[in-house]
Amino acid sequence: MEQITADVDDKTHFKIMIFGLVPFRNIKFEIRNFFGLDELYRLSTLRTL
Amino acid sequence: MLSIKNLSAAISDKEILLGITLDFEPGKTYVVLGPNGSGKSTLAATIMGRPDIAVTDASELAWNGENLKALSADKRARLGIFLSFQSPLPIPGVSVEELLRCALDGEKDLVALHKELRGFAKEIGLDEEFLSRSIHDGFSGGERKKVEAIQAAALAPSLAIFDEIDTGTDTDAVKRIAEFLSAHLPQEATKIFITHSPKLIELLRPDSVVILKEGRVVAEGGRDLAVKTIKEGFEGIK
Repeated sequence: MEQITADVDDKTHFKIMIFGLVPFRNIKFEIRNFFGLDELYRLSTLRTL
Repeated sequence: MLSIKNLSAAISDKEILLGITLDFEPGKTYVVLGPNGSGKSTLAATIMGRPDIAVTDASELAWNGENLKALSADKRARLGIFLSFQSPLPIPGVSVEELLRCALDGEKDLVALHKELRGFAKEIGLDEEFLSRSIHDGFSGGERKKVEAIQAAALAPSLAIFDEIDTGTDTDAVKRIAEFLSAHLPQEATKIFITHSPKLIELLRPDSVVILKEGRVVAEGGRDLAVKTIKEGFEGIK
């Protein structure tokens, strides 16, 4: 299955941490789950450790 | 209390803060002034724990006695520390309400948070539609700063740092943001405002004013110091 890697940049990563959250970095998604860039970004940003 | 002793910090090997010693007490409002490049934003980001800022071993940074140097930014946030950026970043695909729901999961009832955010938006003069749009994505300067103020109010921090909350806003918006924050930040919170705005200083009526220059604290005083400095400039301050 083809994959796409989502990441947040350092500034966004820091911004999200200010909310007490820790975004994953470099999450690999399978293309079949890809619903658009915004959705990918949302999933990447709000998935926390 | 936020206690800073001999704080020196660098970004990419460039030394920006050079031996800063300051105490910030609970319930008080502070204004930090200084010319561009004096280290104000770096000081704010260092307190919050920005990962790319290197702090020397001799530096001491403590919040209510806890060593902040050992904690990442998210753990500092969990202690009640909040930073509003000078240039708030857009986060595509993530709404204000969604982010706050994640941040306050288990701490606030979601229905109550939903209502609270709409009340905040109305009070600060922001269409509630902005709460469900991607954060800061296509927002004007004033809208961004109002959203930052709403985030701060919802999180109810015990140490709130605002890096130029007035930048990009008109006079009416500055007044509205200042009044909103005065009304909604916890009374016992320590509030630190980095600003160049005489209007904001007048509205905030700070307890104390700190002036940074070239990475060092060069003056501390009351409101009179801010008035004098804004009138006469930073050149006369050594």
